[in-house]
Amino acid sequence: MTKMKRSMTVMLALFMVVGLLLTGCSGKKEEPKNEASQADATQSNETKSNEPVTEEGSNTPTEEPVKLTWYVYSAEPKNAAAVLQKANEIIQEKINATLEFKYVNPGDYNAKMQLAMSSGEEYDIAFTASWVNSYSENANKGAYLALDDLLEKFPDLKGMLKEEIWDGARINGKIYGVPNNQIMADQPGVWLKKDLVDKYQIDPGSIKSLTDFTSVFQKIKDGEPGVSAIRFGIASAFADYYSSVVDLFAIDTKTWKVVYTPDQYTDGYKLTREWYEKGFFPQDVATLKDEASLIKAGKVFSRYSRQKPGNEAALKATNGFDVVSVVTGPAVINKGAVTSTLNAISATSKHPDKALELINLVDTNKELFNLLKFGIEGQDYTKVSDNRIEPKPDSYAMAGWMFGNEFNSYVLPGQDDNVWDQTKVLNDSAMIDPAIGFVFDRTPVENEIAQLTAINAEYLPVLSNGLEDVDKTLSALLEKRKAAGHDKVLAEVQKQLDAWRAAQQ
Amino acid sequence: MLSRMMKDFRKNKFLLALTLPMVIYVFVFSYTPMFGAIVAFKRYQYNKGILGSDWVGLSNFKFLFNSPDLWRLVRNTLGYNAVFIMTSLVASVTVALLLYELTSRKLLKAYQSVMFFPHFLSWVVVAYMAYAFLNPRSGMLNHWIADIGWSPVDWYNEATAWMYILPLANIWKDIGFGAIMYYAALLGIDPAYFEAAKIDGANKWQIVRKISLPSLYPLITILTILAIGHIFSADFGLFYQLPMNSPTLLATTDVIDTYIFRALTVLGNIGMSSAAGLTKSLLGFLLVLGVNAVVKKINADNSLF
Repeated sequence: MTKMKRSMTVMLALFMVVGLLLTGCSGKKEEPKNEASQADATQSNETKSNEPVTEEGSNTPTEEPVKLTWYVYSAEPKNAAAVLQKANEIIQEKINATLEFKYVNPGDYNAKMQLAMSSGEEYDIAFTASWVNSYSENANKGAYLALDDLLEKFPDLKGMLKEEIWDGARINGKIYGVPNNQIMADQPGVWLKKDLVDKYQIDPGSIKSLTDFTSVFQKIKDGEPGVSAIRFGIASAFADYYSSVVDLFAIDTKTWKVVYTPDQYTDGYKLTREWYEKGFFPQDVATLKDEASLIKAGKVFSRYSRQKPGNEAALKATNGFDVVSVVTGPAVINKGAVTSTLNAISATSKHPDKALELINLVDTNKELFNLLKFGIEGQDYTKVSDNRIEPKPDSYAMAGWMFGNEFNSYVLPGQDDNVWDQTKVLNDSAMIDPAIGFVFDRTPVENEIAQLTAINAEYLPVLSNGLEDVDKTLSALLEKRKAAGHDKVLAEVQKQLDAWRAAQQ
Repeated sequence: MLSRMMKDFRKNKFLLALTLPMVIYVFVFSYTPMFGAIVAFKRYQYNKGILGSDWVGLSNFKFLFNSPDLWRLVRNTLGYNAVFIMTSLVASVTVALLLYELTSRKLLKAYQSVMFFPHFLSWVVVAYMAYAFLNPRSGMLNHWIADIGWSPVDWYNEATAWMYILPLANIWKDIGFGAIMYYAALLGIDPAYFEAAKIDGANKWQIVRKISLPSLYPLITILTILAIGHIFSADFGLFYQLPMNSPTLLATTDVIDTYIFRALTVLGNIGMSSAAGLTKSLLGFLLVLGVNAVVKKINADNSLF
């Protein structure tokens, strides 16, 4: 025993020595690097600010091209090296920079970006959104650079989107990311399988409320055993629009009062419960893992779908059958739609000006955008007409909504020639959420929101799929939420909303 | 004191040198990161870094301790882990004793491999194997139930069933690994004891009770103490993947780890998740000390330290 203790002391001493050595090494190594990078940063900032930014990018040929890294939410596409090389010819000529995409598999994106940010990695641009690599959280935590001043140097980019849309991208009053210009209007809807619609002579135009669906679904249930009438609940369809803020709280923009949304959808939940008991849903509606194969096999008659021009064609391509759409609410441009895809510049970027110049170039240069989206003509696609292409199987492709201005995109087979004009019309006619500029700062109630989030994850799938009695679930949910600070968060949202409204006037 | 230490050091320097790689490894990967635990008391911001972020005291711990589900979480976590520790102990020791009785080398290897194999499967894979049995549309179990004329059960909405499914799955996955360890310990017993017992006319049961089991006690205590150290950290894969994250099962499948995951995936708050991790580690550490002290009282030779 005593012997063991002695060797333990020796070991402890060893720990310390090794520790000292290690910290000594790292300290020495880091110091000069930091100095160098700081000097570098200030230098580049100086040169940049002295230099007028022009469209052509009037760089002296002696200056080294700036290397920019851009994290994208995509696996590496085929032929990526060749495409990037070709793109870099354009980028270097126009703005004297080179681009390196860092491809991250979608499933790893959150984790990878968290790591990049918490380790202080130097990168320039990253794809960010409300649903992955959270834009508002990261901006709040200081991961991104505020772009307000820089954006003034790029009137084309600034003018690409309406002022209200830029407002939607604001976090605590500042813009931290450039929204990709695409479909901004968010309109809910439901697709119905066309062959069954024809077979049972259903008139989609006659569906004007949630209850109108019941008789339609009953026909499918009676006539088509093995086919689920609808994939999952759509309790909020045809309900009034509320501008959602955080957790389950939303703003009623008519009265500017904060509401708790399950209260607004109670009727919808009750009808959903009725549907569940009638067997309109797949039996494992809340735990179904492989929805795509079920839909492809024709076992699902209808499903929620966000409406946009060309939606039916896109659905036919993925599902393999024709669909008819039923629109279930107004088209709205809200904060969620604006922040559904953005690109932000990292706070660690050494060349923020160049990075924004690159985003500007990708958004305004049609040739470059289509090159990065579809690849090289002849290798990755063939041109059918001036603006229409036919992709080759198994070739380069990247989602355009992830990095650029979709209104510059070529059209694909199955899409209307004027699909982007139609999108523009929808965008322009959509109602802009009056609360688009309001951002909730969750710092004062972070603990409560964490608890509420966990509670919601337990009850919402039950409510929205009608798995259990609605009144009972709603009261159990509310009771638990009250214990977790429901009222405190509600009051905080209302307080911040009132303050924001006062500042607006 | 110091000269004694130096002498000791000189005498054992080669043995100590052998431990050096592991010492460095533990230091770099286990001790150094402990400084990171301070983010549990901070409001972490990327641009300020770990040291620069603001102190917030204990506020990061609130979401866990104020949770209205706290009782359910603690009950499930401790309850399941206690059941797991006991069942896998009994099952592994039994299997090890049975394996020891086997005389055919070939059969022994075959049994060991078959039972050991699930240990290498990830819970995600196991979850889909279970799904193939249990899912309401094409699950095999429901087909069998239907064949004998009962009505099918929607297992993923049947909370009570999971009180049995989870321990069963855990045993199935763990039994091979535990059995191998105990089997190895059995091989270490001097065969002379067994021979002597046989000559004295002891039967199999007596040999097991009086020789095999007592020789296993030290290993059993050490492994159990270590397992108790982890009693607050539930196996996330088991509790999250196997029930397919079904919301209606949470009454019997929700543990501290799944709660933290549910609460924080949206927020991505590093401070709060560190706070939860630190709490679990601290409780586990205290438990190990406590159990070790108890064991020491009963039999000092079996204690861990």
